[in-house]
Amino acid sequence: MNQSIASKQKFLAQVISRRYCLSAVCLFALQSVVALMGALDLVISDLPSPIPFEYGRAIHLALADFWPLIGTMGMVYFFITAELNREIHSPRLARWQYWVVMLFTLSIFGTLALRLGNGREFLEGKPIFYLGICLALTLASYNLIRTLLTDRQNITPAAATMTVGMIFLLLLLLPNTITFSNPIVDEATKFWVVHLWEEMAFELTSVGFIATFFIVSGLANRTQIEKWLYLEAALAIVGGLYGTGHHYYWIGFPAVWLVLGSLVSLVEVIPVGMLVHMTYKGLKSKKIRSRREKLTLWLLLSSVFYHITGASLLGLFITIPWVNLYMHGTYFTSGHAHLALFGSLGFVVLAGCYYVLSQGSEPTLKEYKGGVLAVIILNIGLIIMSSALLAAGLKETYLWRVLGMDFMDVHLLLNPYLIVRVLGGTMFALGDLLLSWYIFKVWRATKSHK
Amino acid sequence: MPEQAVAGKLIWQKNNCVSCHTLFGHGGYEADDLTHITATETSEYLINYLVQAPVMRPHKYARHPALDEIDAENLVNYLEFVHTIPTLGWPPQQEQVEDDS
Repeated sequence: MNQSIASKQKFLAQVISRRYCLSAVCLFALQSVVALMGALDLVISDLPSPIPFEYGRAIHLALADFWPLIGTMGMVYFFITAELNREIHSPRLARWQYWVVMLFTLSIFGTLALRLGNGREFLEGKPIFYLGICLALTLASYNLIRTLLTDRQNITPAAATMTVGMIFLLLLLLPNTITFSNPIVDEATKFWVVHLWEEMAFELTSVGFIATFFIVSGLANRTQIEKWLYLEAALAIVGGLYGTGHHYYWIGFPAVWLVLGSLVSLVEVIPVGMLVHMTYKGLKSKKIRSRREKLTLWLLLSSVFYHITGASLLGLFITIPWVNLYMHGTYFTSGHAHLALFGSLGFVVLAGCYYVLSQGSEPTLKEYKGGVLAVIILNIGLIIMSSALLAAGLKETYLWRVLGMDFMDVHLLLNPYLIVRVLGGTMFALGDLLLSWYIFKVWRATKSHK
Repeated sequence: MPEQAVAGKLIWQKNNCVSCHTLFGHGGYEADDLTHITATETSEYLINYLVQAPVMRPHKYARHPALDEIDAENLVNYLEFVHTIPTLGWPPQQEQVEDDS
């Protein structure tokens, strides 16, 4: 990081965004360690642990919710100023928002470690803490709206889309701070976060980064990217909203959701396909020279790859009601979730966080190779881990759901797959720690450029 | 929804049962789905299981978390309520699998 290409961050918001991105990367490092402990617990009988499996898993899922959220908050502040070429409404509020989101996020992890929770999957923490996260999202939404309104004539589509994404993050989490007695309502509301945060809100907040990156690196021009952006935003909202239906198949909703959920899920594939086409065309016509941009592209292309394969194609396959009937609730779903959640969302947030934290630096060849190696190890680890889960899911589907064998008898037969999952998870954790260390070094080297 | 079932849902949540078990197929994959467990096991058996928690396979020592009798009754009431929710034929039963094939 010794060849400085820009000495200062241009706006205060961009300086503040660094603390969000660094915290996100640190929590991501923690996540792989927690996940690995949980995976080990499943293959080693009576493994002693200060935190029992059920709370360790809850911490793993809470981390999966919140490190991307914190990274996204930083990315949105960074790229909205880049898009609008002006400061945000209140940098002070952005600083407060950081402490609020960190306080409540860490409170969720801390209380879960003390075995205090609310037992709703992916939202296992006490509802009061989610109210705190909502407060942080309210501060973000207010700050972004005021920023846009400061100069109404110069609102770019990417800036508006990111703001709408942030508002959706708030609106979708807010009902989840309520305790519902009815399990149908409870399940349905939960998927507004579990599904809609990723499939709609985070899709919208990520476009600012994708737009800026594609334009700056020369992979696409503004006209091309804005055309994609309009379609992406429209389809993310329509496809995301109705696509939630594929989570509503068997929870007590009417059968019409089988049709809606499966057909509308098709729509979600279109913008990813367009992004792939645009990237392919861009890479054919333009050779990226900056190592910083190339490393960002490695991370971004990893995201696009899993978006197409693990999230869209595999996701589409299991949304077919006849397939879902048998595979739902098996390890197959877990394999898909790892590819879709970390594969597509995690990698794009990591790409954005790296891009934000490396602003004003250019890696040496050795550092670049180290970064690429970390990304490759992460990818191999993820593929091994997810493939093991998918294979376990196929076997489980056949023996448990088709042949009707006893659940525990089947589960014991899945042990070899779960051991392979641990091996993949170990590799993933190594890649994660290597990449996090690399990004930490980038952060330290660029600290003085602020 | 009966009062006891509402109380049972809170017991389900308080004990973080969803980390290992699934309801409607949503939750952890390490233990059986409990959506229709009351169709195959009696209330007495389930309450007894929860109060005198057995060692969980394949562990030699680790036991299933134990509940007191009232909490166990409420939880089983909740599972009885969940069983009444129409799940459009999910999970597939043996006869259904044979019909499909």
